[in-house]
Amino acid sequence: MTNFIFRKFFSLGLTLFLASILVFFFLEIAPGNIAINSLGNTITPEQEASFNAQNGLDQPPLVRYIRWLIGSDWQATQQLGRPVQRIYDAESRQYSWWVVGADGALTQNYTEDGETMISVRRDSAGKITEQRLGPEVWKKDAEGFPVFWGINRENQASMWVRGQSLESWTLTKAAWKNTAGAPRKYIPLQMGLLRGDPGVSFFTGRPVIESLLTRIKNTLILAGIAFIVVMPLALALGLLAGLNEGKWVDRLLSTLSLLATGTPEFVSAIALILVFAVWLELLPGAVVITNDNSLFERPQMLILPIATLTLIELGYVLRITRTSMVEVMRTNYIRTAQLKGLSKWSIVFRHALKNALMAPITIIIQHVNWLIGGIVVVESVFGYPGLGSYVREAALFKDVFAVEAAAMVFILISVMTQLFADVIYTWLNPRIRYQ
Amino acid sequence: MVNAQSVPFTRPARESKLRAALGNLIGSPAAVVGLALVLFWIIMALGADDLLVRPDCWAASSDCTTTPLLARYDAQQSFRGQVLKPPSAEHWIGTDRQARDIWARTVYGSRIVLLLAPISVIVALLVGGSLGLMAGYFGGWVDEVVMRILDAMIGIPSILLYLVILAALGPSPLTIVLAVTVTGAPGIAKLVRSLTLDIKTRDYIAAAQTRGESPWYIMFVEILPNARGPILIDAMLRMGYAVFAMGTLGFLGLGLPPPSPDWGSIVNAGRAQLLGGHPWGALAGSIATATLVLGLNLLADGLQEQLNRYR
Repeated sequence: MTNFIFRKFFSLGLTLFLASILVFFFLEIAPGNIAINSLGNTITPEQEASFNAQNGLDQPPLVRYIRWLIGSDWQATQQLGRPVQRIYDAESRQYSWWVVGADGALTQNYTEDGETMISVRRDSAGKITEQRLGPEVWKKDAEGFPVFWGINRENQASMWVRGQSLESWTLTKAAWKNTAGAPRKYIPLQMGLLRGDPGVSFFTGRPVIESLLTRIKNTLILAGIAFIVVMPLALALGLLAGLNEGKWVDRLLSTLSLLATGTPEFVSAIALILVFAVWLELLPGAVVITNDNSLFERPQMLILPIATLTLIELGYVLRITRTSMVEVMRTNYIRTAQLKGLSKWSIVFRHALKNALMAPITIIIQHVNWLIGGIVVVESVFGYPGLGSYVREAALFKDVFAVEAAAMVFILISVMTQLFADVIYTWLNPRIRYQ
Repeated sequence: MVNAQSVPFTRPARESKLRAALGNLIGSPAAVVGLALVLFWIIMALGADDLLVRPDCWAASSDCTTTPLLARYDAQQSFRGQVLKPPSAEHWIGTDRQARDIWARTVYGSRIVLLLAPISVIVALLVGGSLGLMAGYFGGWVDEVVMRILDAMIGIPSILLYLVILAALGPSPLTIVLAVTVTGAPGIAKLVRSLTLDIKTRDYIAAAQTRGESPWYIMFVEILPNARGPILIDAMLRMGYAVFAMGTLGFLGLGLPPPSPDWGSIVNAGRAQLLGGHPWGALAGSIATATLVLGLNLLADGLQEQLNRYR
């Protein structure tokens, strides 16, 4: 059993690793220009180059992959010779990066002319003071240029070269801003996906993790309720069909389940909206979230999304349960029980049920891949602010870091549940345990 | 000479085999319904305009003017003052926001779906089939490496791969084919591998090996043709998934760029008017996608039954 779980963990890790390479490759390496996608196609080559340098997009793929995965602060520490620290400012709801000085004070730097370096100090109370530094801060690098390494005010570890007043381009809310005194090299600071920081969205300018957490919570609420509704319903109906094999109940349920699984999710959703929201005017056809408690104040908003998810999942699980029940009812030990003269219900509940439910329960858990497709569609149809609609919006706007993070969270959830299903199945079914 | 002799023998044999196959297919009511649904859309696609009469129009050259036949109007034609009209004698299922005939768009949309879905499945078959054959036939570390990677890819929900690929490369027919290939190939490879492992043990493979045939000859000439039944059924199911996926992508706003009349995009465009009491666009695209997917699934079921009968 330990060996089995160990092997499963290995393949889980491999899946995640390959998935991360695949996601990263497609979004960042494959043709398709992140700068143009994020800033529009009217940017000049200088603006593009500046944007790429500031965001580390001019680096080789391997460096970018490593920074995306495990962060870049350790590389910055090597260059700066000092530890760096990320602090969260509750007021502006932004993260910022600082160099930790020998006395524990936090500093950032900037220069306006490439000659006078200005140090921004932040003490433990959060008070900011600026101080002009003398020319002695410029240190000769390996090639003999006088350079200074520090963290600039855009949270990038940067290398300034003395006397070279470079220009940088940044897109602010109003217009392009051209700043003098820009560094020559940048290391954009981030903690990395594995340490819970998937980067800052190019589109909104906010940390991705911020929106991700509430979205994950919302999706778990939706998927959790749907799961609680689907599970007993599908199992009960599947058992009903399986026990009445060949009768009209079975045929009706089997045909309906075939129709339900074959129908694309968006079609089921539109049909339900049309019937219950437009024609019968019974239920709201969209989810409108105005505050944190909206879901609890108007729970009827959730009925149609959950009904759609139920419809998508129900058919499949029902068919599996039915087949499993039919198979179990044909086994020898059930025949023995029947010949012994046990009552039908005693046979079903005391002998057949446990074995018949083994396959469907694992299948439901394994089926989470399918459910994720359903969740993306359902959340998009009903405007539900979950992870599914988040990944769709991010994909529409080509918000690279957001798509990467959301996709990886989904993949993690899916792979973990598959592992869970495997473990449950082995635990329920001793016959395959030691193979 | 050889040809002249062999033709009289093979033709009747082939015809009777075909008739038997069709007869079996027609024997199953589900398969008949499936066939009817798929044929309906094939006829619509072929007969949308008189392209069949003027084949040079297949290349979509700009100087080619066609007369809409089954579609009645052109998919992009806008009718003045006919914005969001309900069904009428002129416009069978109404008009959309840009005053275009929804029926015409749906019919022309079938052409896109019925072209892209088979192409992407064929590409997926080529990639997945080759990988599966190699993994199954060579075994050893090739098998181990290929299967580990493919297992990992199967673990990724396909909708995410679609979204990632389309977000990265932008919506175009090529991207959609690529997305369906990337998501479909691992499944096909696993199927072909298991079939290969089974067929590899047969005597005629040993005979071919003794004859000194190259591994590639054995894989593609001896093994592949003998595994065609299950592969064909799987391909039919995958065609359904491809239609399903294309619809979903269009619906999510990631399908072919406007003014393409693919079904998902029709639904996506019609979705905004759904709550405003003009469901025709959303309904047309939805029903079209659902019927074609259902048709392909039923057809696959029918073929499966027939295959089981031969076993």
